[in-house]
This record gives sequence, structure tokens and C-alpha cells, in this order.
Amino acid sequence: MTTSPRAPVIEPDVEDHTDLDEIWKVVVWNDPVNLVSYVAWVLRSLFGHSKEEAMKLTMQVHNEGRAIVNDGPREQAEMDCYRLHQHGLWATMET
Amino acid sequence: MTVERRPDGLRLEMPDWMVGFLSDIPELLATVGTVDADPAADRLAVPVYLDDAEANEDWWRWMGGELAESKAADRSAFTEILAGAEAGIDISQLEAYAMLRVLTETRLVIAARAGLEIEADYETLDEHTLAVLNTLALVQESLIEALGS
Repeated sequence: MTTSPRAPVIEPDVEDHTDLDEIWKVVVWNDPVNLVSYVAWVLRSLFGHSKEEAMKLTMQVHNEGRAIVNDGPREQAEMDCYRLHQHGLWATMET
Repeated sequence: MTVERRPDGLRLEMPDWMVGFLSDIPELLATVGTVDADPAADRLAVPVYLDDAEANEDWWRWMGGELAESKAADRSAFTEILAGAEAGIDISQLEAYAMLRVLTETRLVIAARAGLEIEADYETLDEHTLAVLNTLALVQESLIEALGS
């Protein structure tokens, strides 16, 4: 009597799954050139923030140097950064 | 300059000098990155990942070309808009967005080349540069106000 060979067990790559599930924050940085009204308009246009929320985030950028304007999976954060750079804002992403 | 909201977009009316002034912008933007150590090129390619150089390189490798194409399309739209500026210009909302992006890029380029890094640097700018930045800002503000009305 023989037994069928057992398939090798492959350990799941926990780190990879963690990366996929990780939430990334999209950060907009202050610069001395872009107008407050323009930054607020961009945040409203791209993320659908209300006028008040967009202005609050814009003033946070202006006064504190940066603000988190959105978050989500890595691919979404990378696309958010693309759209913000397309509009001339300096955006970065972090976990 | 006046900008009026219309049901299908905006109506712009600008003096001839302003049309001429704005018409020079695409030529200015075409010079970005054509000379060594251009601070404007650096400003337009700021890092997306601050603590991961490899990820940042990947991002720019994947997105950089598309970003450049998008900006080129905005500049073409900007040029076409101004080409029909004799008796006022009717533009769509999307064209207004393209104008805003081009005006923003222009201000960033001029400011970077003038060494403007912090608010206090405005005091060091020459009158001409300041006037140019302010004129561009005026056009931006007018567009944003009309879009929001």
C-alpha cells in the first residue's frame, strides 16, 4: 500500500498581504506659490470635498505645512498623487 | 479682465496685452528641462515617496510619461483657446480646468527660477517677476471665482 505524495505546503507571504491591505495617506505640502483659492478648488474637484472641508484642509496645508487629503489602498493613493501633481500640487504618500 | 459664467462654460474678455502676455506661456513652458540644473524642472518632478527612493523612481517611471502628455495636452488647449481671443472667448468647463493647470505650472516655473522657496522670498523678487506672478494669479482667481459661481 502506498500513500499519495503530499503537496508541499507553501507559506503565505504575510508581508505581501499586509502591503495590499495597507491604507496609504495622501499628503499635500505647502508651497509659497499656489493660491489658497486654487488649492481649495483642486481638493473640491478631485476628492469631492465640500467647500468648507476643502478650505479647512487648505488652511491646514498653509498653516501647518501639510495635510492629509485622502487615504486608501496603494494604487488609489498613487493615482491621487498623479492627479494632484497634474494640478501642480506637491503630493506624497505614506502609511 | 472679466469672466462670466455661462450655462455651458465661461465667457472670457481680456485686453489685447493680456492675450499677448498669456500667449507667450507655452513657449516659456517648453524651455523647462532644456537647460542643465533647471530649478523649474526639479519643482515639477518632486518626489512622491519621501522615504523610498526605489518606489519613487518606479512611480515616476510609470506615471511621468503620462503626466508629461497630460501637461502637453493642456498647453495645446491653452494655445487654441487664446488663438480665438479677438472678441472674447467662450470656453467649456474642461477648457477652464486646462487653463488653470497651465497658469499654475507657469507660476511654479517662474517662481522656481526666481528662487522663491518660502513666503519671505517674495520680498526679494524684482518688480517684473512679481508683476508677472500677480497677473497670472489674477487670471486664476477670476477663473476660480467664475467656476464657483
